[in-house]
Amino acid sequence: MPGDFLTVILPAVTAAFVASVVEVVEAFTIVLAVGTTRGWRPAIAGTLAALAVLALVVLALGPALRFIPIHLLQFVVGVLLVLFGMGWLRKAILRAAGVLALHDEDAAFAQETHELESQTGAPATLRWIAGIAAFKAVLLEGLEVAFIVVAIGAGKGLLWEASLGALAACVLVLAVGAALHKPLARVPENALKFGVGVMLSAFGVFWTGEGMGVEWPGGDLILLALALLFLLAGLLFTQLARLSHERVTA
Amino acid sequence: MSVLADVIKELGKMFVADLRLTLAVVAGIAVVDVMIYKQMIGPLMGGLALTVICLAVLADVVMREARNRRGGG
Repeated sequence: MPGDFLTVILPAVTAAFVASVVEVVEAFTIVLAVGTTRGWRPAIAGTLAALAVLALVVLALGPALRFIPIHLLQFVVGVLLVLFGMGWLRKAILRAAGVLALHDEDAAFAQETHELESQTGAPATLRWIAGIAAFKAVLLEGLEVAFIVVAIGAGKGLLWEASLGALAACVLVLAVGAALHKPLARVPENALKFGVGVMLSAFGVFWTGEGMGVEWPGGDLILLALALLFLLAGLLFTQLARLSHERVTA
Repeated sequence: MSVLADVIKELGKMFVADLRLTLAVVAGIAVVDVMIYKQMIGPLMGGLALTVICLAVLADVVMREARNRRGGG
C-alpha cells in the first residue's frame, strides 16, 4: 500500500466518488423524466453523448496539465478547489441550517416531466428535444465531477484513481436508479455535499499553500487535520446559522 | 448555442457561487502570498494564515446569508 494511501489517495478517490454520486443523482432525475415521457432511446443517446464529451474533457485536460510546472499547477488548482469546495460547503451549511431549501428530486422530476409534456410538435422533434435535455443535464452536472477529477488528478497525479472513483459512482447510481425506476430522493444529498465540500476545501488550502511555498507540518498528514478543521467549523457554522436564521424569521 | 451558453454559465457558477466569498478568498490568498514572498511571515505561519482566512470568510458569508434571508428558500 503506498505511503500516502490514507492521507491523499483515499480522500481524493472518496471525494471524486461522493461528488459523482451527488451529481449523477441529479442528472438521473432528468434522464428518468426524459425516458418515461419520450422513451428511452433519446434518454440513453443524450446520456451517452454527454458522457463521451466529459470523458474527452478529462482525457484531454488531465495529461495536458502535466506540462505546467508543479508549483504553479498546485497553486492554480488549489485556488480553484478552495473556491469550488467552499462554495459547496457554504450551500450545504445553509441548507442544513434551514436557510436554503433542500434539493428535492421528486419535485425536480415532476417539473421536468411537466415541461417535456407541455411541448408540442412532431414526435421526431419532441424526441430530439428530449435527447438534448438529457444531454444537457448529464453534461452540466458532470462538469463539476470532471473538474474534481481533473483537479485532483493534476494536484497529485491521481487522474486514473479519481476517474475510476467517479465512474464507479456513476455505474452505482445508474444501476440503483434503473432497478428502482424512480427519482433517488432518499439519497442524503446535502450530507454528501457537505462531506465533499469539507474534503475539497482541505485539498484546496493544502495545494494553494504548497504552491505558495508553505511548509506544512507533517507533510501530507496535515490534509486530515485540515479536513477535520473544516468539518468541525462547518458543523459549528450550521448551528450558528440556524440560531441566527430562527431569530430573524421568528 | 444554448448548450454552450449553459456550459459557460455553469463553469462560472462553479467558482463564483457567492461573489463575496470568491473575492474575499482570492484577496486573502493574494495577501498571504505577498507576505510569504516578502518574507513578512514564515512558510508555516503562511499556512496557518491561509487556513484561518478561509474559515473566517466561510463564517462571514454563512452568517450574513442566515441573517439576511427570510424563509427557507
